[in-house]
Amino acid sequence: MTNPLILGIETSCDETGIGIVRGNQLLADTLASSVEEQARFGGVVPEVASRAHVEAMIPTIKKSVEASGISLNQIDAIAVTSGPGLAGALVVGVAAAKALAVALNKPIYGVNHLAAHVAVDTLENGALPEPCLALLVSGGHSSLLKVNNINYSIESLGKTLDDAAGEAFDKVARVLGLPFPGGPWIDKAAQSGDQLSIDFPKGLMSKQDLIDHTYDFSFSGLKTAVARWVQAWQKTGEAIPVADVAASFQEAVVEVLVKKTMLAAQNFGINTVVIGGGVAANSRLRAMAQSEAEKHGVRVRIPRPALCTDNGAMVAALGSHLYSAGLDPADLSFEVDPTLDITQVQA
Amino acid sequence: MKGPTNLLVVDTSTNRIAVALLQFGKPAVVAIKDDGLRHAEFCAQLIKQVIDESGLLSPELGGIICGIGPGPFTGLRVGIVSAQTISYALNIPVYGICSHDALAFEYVSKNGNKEFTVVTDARRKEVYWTQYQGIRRISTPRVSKLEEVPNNFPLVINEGLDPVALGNAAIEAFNRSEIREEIKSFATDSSSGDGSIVALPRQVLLPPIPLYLRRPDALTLAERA
Ligand SMILES: [Zn+2]
Repeated sequence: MTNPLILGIETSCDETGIGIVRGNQLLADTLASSVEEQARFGGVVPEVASRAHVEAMIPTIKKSVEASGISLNQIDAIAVTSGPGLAGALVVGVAAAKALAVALNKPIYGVNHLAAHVAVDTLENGALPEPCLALLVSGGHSSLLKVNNINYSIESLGKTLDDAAGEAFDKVARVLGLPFPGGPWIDKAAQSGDQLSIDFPKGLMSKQDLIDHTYDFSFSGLKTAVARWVQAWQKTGEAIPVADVAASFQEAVVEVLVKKTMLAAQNFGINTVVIGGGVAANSRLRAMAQSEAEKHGVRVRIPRPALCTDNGAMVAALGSHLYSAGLDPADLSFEVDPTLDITQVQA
Repeated sequence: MKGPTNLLVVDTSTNRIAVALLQFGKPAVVAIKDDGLRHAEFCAQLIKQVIDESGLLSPELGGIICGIGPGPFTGLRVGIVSAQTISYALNIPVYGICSHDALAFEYVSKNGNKEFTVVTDARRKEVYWTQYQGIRRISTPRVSKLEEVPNNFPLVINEGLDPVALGNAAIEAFNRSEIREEIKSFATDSSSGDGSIVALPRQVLLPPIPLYLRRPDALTLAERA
């Protein structure tokens, strides 16, 4: 079947996402987020996320089915994130997906969340040239991938050794007195700041690091440097130049992400890069990626922000690829895997 | 007998994944697996097994009953979410029953009307407990260390719930439906709740939502300040 109808379920972190696609066509993408509840805690609390998923699951499926205009039993298969992510949160989505598979008597695919972040781009930008590179940056992950085949062959070139890029945004936002999640606020504050005003450290960019950790990232040193800088400034008694700090911090993160991605493109002779994850919504990252890509003769593909952050459509999109390629669905007893490796595209 | 003829019963509040299909209150198919850490893996498989073996699916299936706990949350949620989802997909009603009520029902059917305390594992060196007089709940479910459970009644410590007892506890509630007011929600603790007291209506059909007796561990920013 060329254009299968797939329902995707995503619950790896704090978003309950239900997406419905027909082939590469997006029919519905419905989201319930516990971010407001999480904001009270200043970060994602796994148990709070799991509880919110249970409350949101059926209403969100209902909304998505209604928005898509299909009826539930027309679906060809169900896809669900089986990892990586928060164990207790993954379990809720997988339980719902399996129950749906039993009730409707349809096949089920357990899929890798990171691969789904790549697959979602095909809903907007069409078939993926393979091999391609994928830079995935969010509050939960920061990875540089080489995608040989979206269905079964993805290699990890590098990843963060400590904090995820989005996590660094959250932590720096807190230091600057900006709300959670920090990404959009830092982006906004940085608009009126000077990114050259403070020279914050750029992680793993030294000569030796570029040999030992060519495509790896590290953001924890940067986060600490910002906190120290702010502390020292506070002693002067003057107001913190929030815009300048935000812009300089953002520049340090974005520069490392873009430089390493372009280095990989050159080294592997690859001319397509997909960027995904919540941090892909960052305006500076989008701008710098585009301008650097032009210099290197690379095409950058970034889906619209709503498809960059965690959502159900991305899971449905990957399910659609797997189904269309004729790959076997999962056994009903597949496990969730909080640390699922990218080499495993499906459960 | 009031209530649906064919009932699908699911409970994951204990170390057991307990599924059954009841016809006229009698077990048609029972499928259980004792593996407290693998609810997410096997619950759907057991449901499929009872549906396949019984040959019953919509429209013959009249309703779904799920145990709402108390029980360790991650596993507990599996059965509840599965029941909610099948209810939605097949468009049949789903009801919750306090899982301890089912354990009381099972105890009373073997030992007669007595006063006793149902005790189940709550992990972290604590237990969930509820006091009963026959099948009538006389305390609200609580969580504490085992030493702190009042010792005025014998303790009935249970590791694995019988899904047939859960189904029968539900049928008992259906049969008393003329005195049953419809319960749309009950006080369960959320992240802002006090985390120890739950005002649970007596032995009736409840909404299929988890009975949380602990609040999440994390402190809010306001509490940390
Ligand atoms: Zn993600």
